[in-house]
Amino acid sequence: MPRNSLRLHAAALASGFAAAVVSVDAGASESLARDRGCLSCHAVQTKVVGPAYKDVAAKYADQPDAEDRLVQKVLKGGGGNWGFIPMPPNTNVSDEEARTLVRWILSSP
Amino acid sequence: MTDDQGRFVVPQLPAANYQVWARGYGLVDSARSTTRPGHQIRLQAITASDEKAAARFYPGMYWYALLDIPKTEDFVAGSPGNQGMAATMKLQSAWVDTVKNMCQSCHALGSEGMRNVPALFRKNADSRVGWAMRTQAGQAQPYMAVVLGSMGPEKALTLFADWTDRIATGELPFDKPSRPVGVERNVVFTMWDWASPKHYQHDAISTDKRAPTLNANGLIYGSPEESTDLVPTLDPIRNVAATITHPFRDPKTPSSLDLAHGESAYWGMEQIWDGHTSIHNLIMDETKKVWFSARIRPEANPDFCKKGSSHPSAQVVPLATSVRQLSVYDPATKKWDLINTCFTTHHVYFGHDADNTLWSSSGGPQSGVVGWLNTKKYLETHDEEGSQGWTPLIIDTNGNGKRDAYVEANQPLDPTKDKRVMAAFYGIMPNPVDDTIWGQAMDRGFSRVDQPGYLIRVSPGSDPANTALVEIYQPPEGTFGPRGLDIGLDGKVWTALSSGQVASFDRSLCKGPLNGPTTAEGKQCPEGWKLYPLPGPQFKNLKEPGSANHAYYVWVDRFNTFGLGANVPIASANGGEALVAIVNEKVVNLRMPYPLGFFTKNVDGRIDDPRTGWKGRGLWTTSGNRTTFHNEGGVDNYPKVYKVQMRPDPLAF
Repeated sequence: MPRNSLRLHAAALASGFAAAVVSVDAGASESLARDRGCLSCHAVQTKVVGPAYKDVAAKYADQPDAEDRLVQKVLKGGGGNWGFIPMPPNTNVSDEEARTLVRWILSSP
Repeated sequence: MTDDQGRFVVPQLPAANYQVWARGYGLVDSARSTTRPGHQIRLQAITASDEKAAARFYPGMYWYALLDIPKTEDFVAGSPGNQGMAATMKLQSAWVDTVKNMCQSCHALGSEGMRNVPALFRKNADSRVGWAMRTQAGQAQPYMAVVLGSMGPEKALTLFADWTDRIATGELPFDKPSRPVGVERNVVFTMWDWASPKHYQHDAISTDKRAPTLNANGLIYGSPEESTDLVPTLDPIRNVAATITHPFRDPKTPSSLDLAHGESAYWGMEQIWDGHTSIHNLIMDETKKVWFSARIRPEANPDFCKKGSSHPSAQVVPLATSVRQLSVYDPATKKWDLINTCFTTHHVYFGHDADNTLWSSSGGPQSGVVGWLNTKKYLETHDEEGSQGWTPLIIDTNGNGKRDAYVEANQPLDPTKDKRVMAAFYGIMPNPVDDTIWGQAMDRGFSRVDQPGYLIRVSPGSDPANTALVEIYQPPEGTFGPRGLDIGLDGKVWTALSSGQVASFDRSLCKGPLNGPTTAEGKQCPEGWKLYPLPGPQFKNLKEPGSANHAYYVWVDRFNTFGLGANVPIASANGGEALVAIVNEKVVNLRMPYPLGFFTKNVDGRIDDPRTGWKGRGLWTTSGNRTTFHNEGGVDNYPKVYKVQMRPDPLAF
């Protein structure tokens, strides 16, 4: 595992099974976010156009289905939760990449 | 244009059928008449029935002057008006600079396609949401997000939505333009389509600025920036437009196809830009080779640019990245050379030295260096590493007349040392009367760095990486935002200010010391400046002097290629959809009326035949608007290449 990786203990699944242990490579995920244009609107610590990733992580910290919901928001866009500015659909992001990005976002300190 | 009696002559047309109609301030378009060269026609001008009908033809700035600008007190953190504004946005001038040098920099803000929100973005009852979606449309989405983030998106989008809401419910310009007078009526614009409706151009070049009879009647070349790798050409004699494919070195060179993009009201989800080479600017040398500021590889620099390299410039300032490099195309052989520079390139101009040095700006200030290529050496050896150099910009703040150890830009002055200014050039121009290089650093709106815009004078010295010293000059109190720069054969420096003026700077008028600690901020020599307000009103709620009009760049006609005299500055005044010249201290406003939305980023001038008076000379320029489809003509609208000529009177042919 790369030095800058961390291990994320995801919230317990709604079904009651044991908590999943998901690996997040923070450096690679940040590079992916940059490559896909996410960091034009977002930053980890501060609001830019969209909310700070740390605020997203805090808001969804206790929601077991957060990862799946946010993956759909990344892919299809969303709005109404963080002011009037909607997030556009990200058609240049694959399903797998969206999941990688969301896991990284939810791991933001 | 017509003469005082309404007579007109359309000169120098090739044989074809033409539609002719009358357009003017206070009028609506007359019916179109079809005719051929050599025939006379009579048009009936039609007075507009009301202000709304007349205002359709006003330059965009008369409409975007209705945009509310936050008040000075709104920039105080915690004030009611500060709500939704970015914490880094601290000055009203920075806001205006952002609107003009970022938004208006790519879009003709007040044009019909901008002041009217397309139906796609009017689906949501909250027009702010529509504006948010609008700024997410197309492949400029990441770029516009960065700009909005710098302003505070809630504040900016609220004000833009309010602006178009008011227009949608009937608000009209509070001022109206004057009809052309004097020599303004003598101008002739000839235009050709080139490139494609999906692509846009940044600049065009026709000749060697230093010897503008070169390439007489030859091809005009364009630079399509992010939109495509296809360099457009125009043969103005045979009226043939074509393209040349610009290559790139590394298959991993970024592409516009990789950019995040949203739904366009004009193109849906189609990605209309597919460029890799980001061809920003171009210049012709004395052998008709065309040199481009272009991207040839990903941004990571080769090792010779970086720390630990033996390259003389890397030992002074190692550079890890550059986003755009150089290329040269030889029309004689139809071959390209790609040149890997360590410094980012943006605008390129040749010096007047034996090495035929090509000097390059970098655009934003972040690199903190100005770079050059010894083109004589490069063409002889193809040694790209050994032919290039760059230097940091160091002010002689200890006043001893030579380059010493220096403190960085964010450090306090040290009386024993010099001081660096963290700027790179945006506009750049080697001085034709001495060996200095002048440049201009952008203000806060464009640079997103908390320092004002400057003019910067570089004395390279014998070993520029180690000897170059600079002087910086801020525009005078109450003005701001220099953009673009050129120098006449008289040594006078010209720039355009986002506060709404064209400005000259004459260093020979300076009275105080030009080095030493008092020059660290560039406030010396206000006496060197002279201001020429751009035509048109100020923003509706601004009390400060100036104009809402905005010029993208300024170019000096050193050799009277146009016909208004030698050393006449010409500003691309896109807010006014015009070229603005300063002639004998007076402002000459040359409005291009069709298609609405004239918008250009550079000017070049060429003399094809000095024996034929006005017919043998003219300016060349191109559509610089990134969204040509916002202009009159919509998605069928091609970018244009324009030839602009000055007749002795409106009836000359």
